[in-house]
Amino acid sequence: MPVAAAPALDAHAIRAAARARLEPDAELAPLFDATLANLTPERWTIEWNLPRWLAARFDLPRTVSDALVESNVLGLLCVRLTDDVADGDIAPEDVAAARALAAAALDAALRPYRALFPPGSPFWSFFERSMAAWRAGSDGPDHATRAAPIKVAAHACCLLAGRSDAWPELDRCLDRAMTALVLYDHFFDWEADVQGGRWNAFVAGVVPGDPSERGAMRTRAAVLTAMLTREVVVAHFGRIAAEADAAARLADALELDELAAYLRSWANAAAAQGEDVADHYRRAADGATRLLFPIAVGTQNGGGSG
Amino acid sequence: MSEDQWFGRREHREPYGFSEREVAFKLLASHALVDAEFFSWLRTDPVAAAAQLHIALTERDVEYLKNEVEWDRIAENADPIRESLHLDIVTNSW
Repeated sequence: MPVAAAPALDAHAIRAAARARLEPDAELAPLFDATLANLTPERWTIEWNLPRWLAARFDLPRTVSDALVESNVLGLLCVRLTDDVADGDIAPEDVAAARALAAAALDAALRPYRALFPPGSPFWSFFERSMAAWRAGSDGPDHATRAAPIKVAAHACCLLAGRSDAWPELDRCLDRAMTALVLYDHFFDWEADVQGGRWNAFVAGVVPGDPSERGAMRTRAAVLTAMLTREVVVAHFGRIAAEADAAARLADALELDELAAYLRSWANAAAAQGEDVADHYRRAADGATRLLFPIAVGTQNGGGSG
Repeated sequence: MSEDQWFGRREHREPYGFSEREVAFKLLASHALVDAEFFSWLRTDPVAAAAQLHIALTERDVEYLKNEVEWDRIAENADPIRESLHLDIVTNSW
């Protein structure tokens, strides 16, 4: 039986509804608006769309899916502000406002769930476990813990639709999808993470041992050298593709066609970017070799191939 | 017909044996490019610097690195390549 596609996303209406739900005061409004403006559906596609895709698949009312998308956006706002404070990306004088706004966003995000699930519902124990997992693992090697916030709305959809049977597979699908996304983000964040002393999946896969003992400069040099001389970029993007592909196949099994299509499209775009980056570093290595050893005996063009 | 300690007679080396040296020199150049300390070490003590990367230099290589490489000019010209190593140089074009 064909599965109904979700209605088109109205990001403007979702943003307006999220703002109306939180009602930021004059002091918090500028930070709220600036943060919300950065949370684009293109960058955070799963957060903006998963409740809609699940609602279409499970025949849930549009009002429910809209409310859960708004909650996801508010939850994402809370997560981003919390991460930014932890990473030192918020000016010291704005930290208190960021924390207050994050707390208010989480409270507003939970409002529809309070209306949908009474105290004592299994939803609430799931919510507490998810948030605890996210807090415990958000800066470490267990990438799947990053999926915890998006699982809240997904699990709610399963409960509301009476489709708890779908949850284990959806749970694994979101773990694999989020692992792919985290590995991708870590690649592009690696220099900032090394500089900031934060754990990074790409760095950990390239340079063995504890980077904090080596120091940021030595770690950066070791990672760059690996990028210039080994196929570490290709290997990392291979891991990303494998995780995204596994997630897409799980979405197929659940007949979540829009999620599967998105994951495959994203994986293709990510693979193309990985190739671009790998080529760039291969050319840089060739350039360095030609510069240093243009006439070294026993090499051709100093070892360069291009 | 010349010989060296690693490859023996030159004509035997020509069709074969480039790969390892090319990889080794690429490794040396890449390290020198991203690591200023290594750059300086390779300049002053090429045998020891290369040995750290498990690369054995021939006498000719050492002579080349000590007497022929224009280190000061390379240090100046390396900057554009160093700059190109920042990821945002790649991602800005997307």
